[in-house]
Amino acid sequence: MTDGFGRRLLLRVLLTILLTFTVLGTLISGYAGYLLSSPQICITQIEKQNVAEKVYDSVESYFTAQYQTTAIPPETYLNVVTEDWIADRLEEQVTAEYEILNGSKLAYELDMTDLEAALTQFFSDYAEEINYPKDAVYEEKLQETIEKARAELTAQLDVYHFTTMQNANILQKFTGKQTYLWLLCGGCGILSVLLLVILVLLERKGEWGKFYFPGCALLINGVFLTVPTAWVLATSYFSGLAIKVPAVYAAFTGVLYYCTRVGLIAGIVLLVLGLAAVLGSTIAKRRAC
Amino acid sequence: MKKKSVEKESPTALPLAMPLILPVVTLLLCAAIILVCGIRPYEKLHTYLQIAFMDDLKQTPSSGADGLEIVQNDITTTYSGKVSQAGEPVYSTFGEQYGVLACDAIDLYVPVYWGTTDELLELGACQTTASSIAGAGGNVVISAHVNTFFNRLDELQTGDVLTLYTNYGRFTYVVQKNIQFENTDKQYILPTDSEQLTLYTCEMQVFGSSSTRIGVVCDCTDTEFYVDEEAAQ
Repeated sequence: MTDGFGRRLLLRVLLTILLTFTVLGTLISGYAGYLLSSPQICITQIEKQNVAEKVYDSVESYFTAQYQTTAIPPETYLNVVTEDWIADRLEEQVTAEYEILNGSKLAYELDMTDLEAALTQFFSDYAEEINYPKDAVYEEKLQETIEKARAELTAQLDVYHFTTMQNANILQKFTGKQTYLWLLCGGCGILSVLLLVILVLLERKGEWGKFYFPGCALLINGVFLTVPTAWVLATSYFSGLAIKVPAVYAAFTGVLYYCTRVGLIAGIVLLVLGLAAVLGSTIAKRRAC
Repeated sequence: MKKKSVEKESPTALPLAMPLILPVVTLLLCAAIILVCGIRPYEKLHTYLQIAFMDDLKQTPSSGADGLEIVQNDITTTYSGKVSQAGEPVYSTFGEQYGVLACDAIDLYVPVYWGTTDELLELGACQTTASSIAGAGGNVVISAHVNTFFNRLDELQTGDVLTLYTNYGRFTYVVQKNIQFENTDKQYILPTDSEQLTLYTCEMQVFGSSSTRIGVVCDCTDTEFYVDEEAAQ
């Protein structure tokens, strides 16, 4: 092993490390860009985790408990706020929040038309029943009830805590960042191809085999993605998160587990490709020798 | 001669273990780089997740389990109407958000609630009701969790500027000194004759909670009460 060999090896190792990070950068920025651009994953998890059912249970408990203080029968709300209604609103809300994340200035406003009508009808019937005049106090109470229901439902439907993140200025930090992520993904992708070509050309007549070093980079990326994601899934790590609201817990952990599974699949693919390249190159080289 | 030329063209035979060891060594190098470079982004992401999902108490009226009424307000940070040096602060009810504290130096932007409870600390920073409200000319004492909103409080340095936005005015403070005290020590939360802002949080510890508090004392450099109330709303 001469000095020349050492220098050649050092150069290849450095290029391999660079290739490892550019491949990782391509994958992570690409996936993060997709996550921030499309609400599809969040919406799919809402369906898969039966989030609408959990929100409905919570809403039902809330309005049933409220009956003791407001004397408004829970059915007044629950005849309108059904599981299907909640499922539609959840999808609407997530889509609207993603539009804000993509630069839209319009804030999401919950459509309360049917519930407003139901509450107005209940108030009207009750007022007539007890001969109460529909004066300013009546109107004020009605509006107060509608606004309280709106606030409660908006909060219950915000299963991804977009509002909390907005209030803490977190959401704003991610607004409009998709373009940068796509650019980063493209840049890292181009750099990866360049490094791959350089490594293959360097090893054209070298002692390691053409695909040995690119294989190393893929293998390392495979390990980086496979080991932590496999550990997270094997230990059900996210199931231990202390999130108190069942709907929030289901939606949030659902998304986390989904992303982890995607990471695991990508990791296994890279691991297999890398291993094949490294072993293939090594065996081929030894046979040639 | 013939033998020599064959040797030159054929690739060098490497020891068998070398191609197998090299990926492991490179992997360790990459892991070390990721560990070093990933600490800061990981901390940031962890903080964001803590802020977003530690709070499960919904921000609606009468949502507190113990009768606490949490009220969240939209606080303007872009008021451009007339301002006055003198004015009357508007007191909030316990559990009501009355301001937003911002500091560019540590990328801080946190809602401030009037009163301190575990539930409110999950939603933002809390001002103890025993302290003076911003603009009233006393010691404004605000605290928050170190693992969420005040995770970078220890990075504040003398001269850093903080702004407390409320619905009745905005107040600018400049960090005068960093402080450290035991949780039984009340010297920094006592009333003062002039307006100042005291921010504190727990000292960061890997395991368990610390009895030491760290923070900053800031002098008030600018007091602006909003004159145009409609614009402020």
